[in-house]
Parts: sequence; structure tokens; C-alpha cells
Amino acid sequence: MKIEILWVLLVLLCVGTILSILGVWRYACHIRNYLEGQRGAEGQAAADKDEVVITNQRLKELIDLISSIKQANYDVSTPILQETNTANVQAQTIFLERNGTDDALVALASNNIDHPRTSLRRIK
Amino acid sequence: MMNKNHPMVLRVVCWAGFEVIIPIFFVVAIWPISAAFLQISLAFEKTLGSADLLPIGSVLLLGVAIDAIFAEFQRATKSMIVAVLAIVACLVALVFLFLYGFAKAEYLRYSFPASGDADARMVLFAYLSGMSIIFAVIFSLLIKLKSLFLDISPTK
Repeated sequence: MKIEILWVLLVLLCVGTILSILGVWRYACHIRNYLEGQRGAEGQAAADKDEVVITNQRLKELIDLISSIKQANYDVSTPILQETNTANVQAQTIFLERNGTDDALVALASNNIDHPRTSLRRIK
Repeated sequence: MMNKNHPMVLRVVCWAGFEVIIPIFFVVAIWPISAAFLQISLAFEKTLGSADLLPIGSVLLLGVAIDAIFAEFQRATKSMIVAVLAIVACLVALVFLFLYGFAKAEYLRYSFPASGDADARMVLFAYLSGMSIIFAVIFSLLIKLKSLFLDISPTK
């Protein structure tokens, strides 16, 4: 076998390796996105079933927080706060945790009513 | 939170550990060991020039290709890409085996010099051996991930 053929083979292997890396990257991204999407769907299903996936202490804090906001005469017309009775509050708190609005509620509780991540308004 | 897809991901991790990393490590580890501790000259050419990584790469490719083909039979929706990748893997594995026979024969006939550089052919065999195992690992991983993606895909 001529040595030139081996060099050609070496170059082909390098090209094949680069293409394979691109393919691996593509499918790894696909699988990661799929698994993340599935985790989100499982979380939503848990929220729909009112399953508690946060600690009891944290849940109590959030219930108190929502109650204090209602008592401070805020308009709770935004869907996430329309119903704050205890039967529904578990699913709502999970929803709040997953959508990152917890910090917005904390800001509201400290009278920062212009927080950009919520549509809550004080009732005139 | 446990996920029903974790065993599939775990399967790929176990494959990478037991079928890829361990066998390759024990072959390649001879190179730094012989160079650093045994003070053997031309350790790279002597270790990888024998092309021992070629049959390992070949076995990797054939194993993954056969797995992918049998997994494909069990899927409702067939994928042309998996079939093409498996055929390419088998063909490359055969080329590797053919090359291994040639490289091994050349290696056994060649006597390394006591000092100086090794023959260019031995250096080329060493590079070819190293590149072949890198290609085999990445291409096998590509087939594994494609197969895994089809297994967890909702269109299954």
C-alpha cells in the first residue's frame, strides 16, 4: 500500500471527525431541549394536580405574601392571583415559582408597585 | 425528580465508560508510562504504531451499528439516517480491520533504531491509529445519540 493513500485516509478521518462532532453537537442539543421540555411539562402536570413540590415553609411564606398583597388593596386581576383560596394556592405558588414572579411579589410586598415583571396595580 | 428517560441517558454514559474509555485508556496509557517511567525511546511510535487502536475502533463501530440496526427494527417510524450511519460505520470498521492487518505486518517487520527518529511510515501509522480511534468514538457517539433521540422523540 502506498503511503500517499494512508495520508488521504488520515485527511478523510479528520474531515469525518469534524462532521461527526457537528452531528453530535446537534443531537446533544436536541436531546437536552427535549429533556428540559419534558421536565417543564412534568412540572406543569404536577401544578395542575395541585401537587406540592416546594417545602411547607416556603409554601406558608408564599400564602402569607399573597394574603398581604390582597390586604394592601392591590388589584389582583392578573390571572396568577385571581384566586388565592387555600384550595388553589398550592398550584398557584408552584406556578409563581416556575415563572420567576416570586421576586416580583416580594417587590410588591415592599411597596414597589412599579415592578416591571408584574401587572399588579394599587386600587384607587 | 426521577425521569423515565434517565435509564436511556445512563445507558449512553455506561457505554462511554465501559466500552470506550476503559479499553482505550489501557492501550494509550502505555505510551506515557513507557516514556516517563520506563525511559523507552520513540514511545509514541512504538505504542501507537502497532495500530492496536484500530481493532478497538472497529469493534466500537460495529457494536454501535448492530445495536442501532436492531433498535431500528423495533421502531414504528424508520429513520433513513440511522441506516446510512450504520452502513457507513460497518464499512469504516472493515477498512480499519484491513488497515490493521497491513499496519501490523509492517510494524512487525520494522526494527526501531536505537537513536534518532523512527521511519515516517511508523509515525504515520501512529497518527492514523490515534485519529481512527477519535473518529470511531465520535462517530459511535453520533449513532448512539441519534438512536437515543429517536427513542425519546414523541414521533416514535
